[in-house]
Amino acid sequence: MKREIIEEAITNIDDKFVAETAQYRAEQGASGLREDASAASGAAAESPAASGSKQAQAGRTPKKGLLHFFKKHYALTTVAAMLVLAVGVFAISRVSSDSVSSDRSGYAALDGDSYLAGGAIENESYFSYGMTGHKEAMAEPGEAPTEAINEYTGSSLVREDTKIIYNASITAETLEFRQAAQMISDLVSENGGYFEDSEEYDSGSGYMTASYRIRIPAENFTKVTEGVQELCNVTRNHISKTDVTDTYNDIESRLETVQIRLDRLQELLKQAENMEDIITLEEAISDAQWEADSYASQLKGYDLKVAYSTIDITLKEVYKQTEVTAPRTFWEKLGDSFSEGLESFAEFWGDFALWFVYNWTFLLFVAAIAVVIILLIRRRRRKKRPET
Amino acid sequence: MEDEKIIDLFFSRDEQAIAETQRSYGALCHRIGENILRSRSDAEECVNDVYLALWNRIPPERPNPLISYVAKVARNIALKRYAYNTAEKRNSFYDASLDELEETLASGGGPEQEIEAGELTERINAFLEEQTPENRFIFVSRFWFSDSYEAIAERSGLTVKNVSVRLVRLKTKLREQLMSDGFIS
Repeated sequence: MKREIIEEAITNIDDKFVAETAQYRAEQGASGLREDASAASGAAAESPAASGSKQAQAGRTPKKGLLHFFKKHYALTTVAAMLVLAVGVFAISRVSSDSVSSDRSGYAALDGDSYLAGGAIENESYFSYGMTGHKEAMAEPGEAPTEAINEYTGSSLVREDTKIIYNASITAETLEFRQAAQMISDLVSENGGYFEDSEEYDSGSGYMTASYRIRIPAENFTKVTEGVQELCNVTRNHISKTDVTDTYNDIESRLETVQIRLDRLQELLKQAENMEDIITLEEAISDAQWEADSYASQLKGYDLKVAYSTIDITLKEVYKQTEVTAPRTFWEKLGDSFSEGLESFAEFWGDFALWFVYNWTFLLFVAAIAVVIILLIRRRRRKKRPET
Repeated sequence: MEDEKIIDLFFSRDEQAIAETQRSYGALCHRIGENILRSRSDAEECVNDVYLALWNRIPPERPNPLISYVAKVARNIALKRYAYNTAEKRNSFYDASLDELEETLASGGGPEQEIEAGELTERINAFLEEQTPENRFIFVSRFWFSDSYEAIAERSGLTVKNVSVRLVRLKTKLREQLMSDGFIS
């Protein structure tokens, strides 16, 4: 096709297309100079060619696109991006540092865990499955074993030398940390116990947390665990009992056996005449003595654990205690969730503001680097853009 | 000032009409002149010629819309000056855009119908009518206003690559339409 024909054809295209494009160029400032956009739009509005066609309306402009917006507003985009990044980093750090809060489930575990259930802490009845495989009623600490009968033979299953180790793990919260800690200490002293381990620390939010390992005479175990529940708001109470009777008796039997062997060896040593026999016997006695000492030590350890129960207490200072309420309807839960959500939202932004101020030097440093990078990019783009 | 009032000034032979035209459309005329002539001084002279041409033509003409009339006058004057300045050389955006279109609409070598400029104009008008406003803007900016790819990208908010791809598609579609009508083999 001849160039002249193309040239002439292009020159004579419909005025409305030229007007549409020219009007948009006028609004954009074709050569960097702002034209009178009102004049251009006024001309377009009067155009009879444009009025008949929706597409030819000069008021419609091509989409600019987000990319163009971001290019034009570097500073705003950078600030917005950094703000979003800061909020994201803060949110992630907040979520990961939050410890698991009190369990509010309303069920009681089978192994003796007790949870808040409908307004009161309920303890499971404690049963253990002994060697016979039948349920045996376990005694409370310090109490005489209750009666239990073998279903098949009718004989009593209760043994007088029952050895049970009681352990408890309690998580509690309090509004007055010092007061609660002192009361727990008094409770332990009054019941003949002692602190095997104690640690108190600021958990980072200005509230104190304490971890105690307490040894309490077994007969006062229940009294102390119940006492702690009265002093503080217990959110978790795990009680376990370990029956070590069989193990204890087994070790005791072995000790008796070794003791008999030791006595026998002593007698033989007295009757020994030659040096070789004496040496052999003395070696055997030494081994037996070591074995007896080991069994005795184990028995002693069990005696101590049976005599003194272990209670681990985690005490947390809070500004608001976990509420124990009656079962709620769906709408009550919805309302509570809504208000708690608002509280949480406000708390989040409050914490974010504190975090932001705390880290202002770091954020300023990052912002400065970002500004430098943006300026370098813009300079490079200006160099690339050809002169028009 | 509204176009109607500017035209009234022309009709009453008030020289304020030139000042108002310059304020409203001076930049547009400059851009068209620079795209074709590639020289600021030539473009300025061209723009002055545009104002003179408008003064001579209005009246009796009463263009509507004024903006496209001014643009066409500016383009024609710039093309004439360009033809006068550089009879042999082709180094402006105008030539580049025309070369591009000529290459697109080149015949494949077989028999083809003779097409006149007017008929081609109608085909191009029909083609543009079918396009989106954005594509229309890109096509007219490139081949009527002789804008560079970068200038089109800047104004439309697209990347240069995007503009290039769209122009290729538009030229291909235009060619296919002309081929189906038998004007290109």
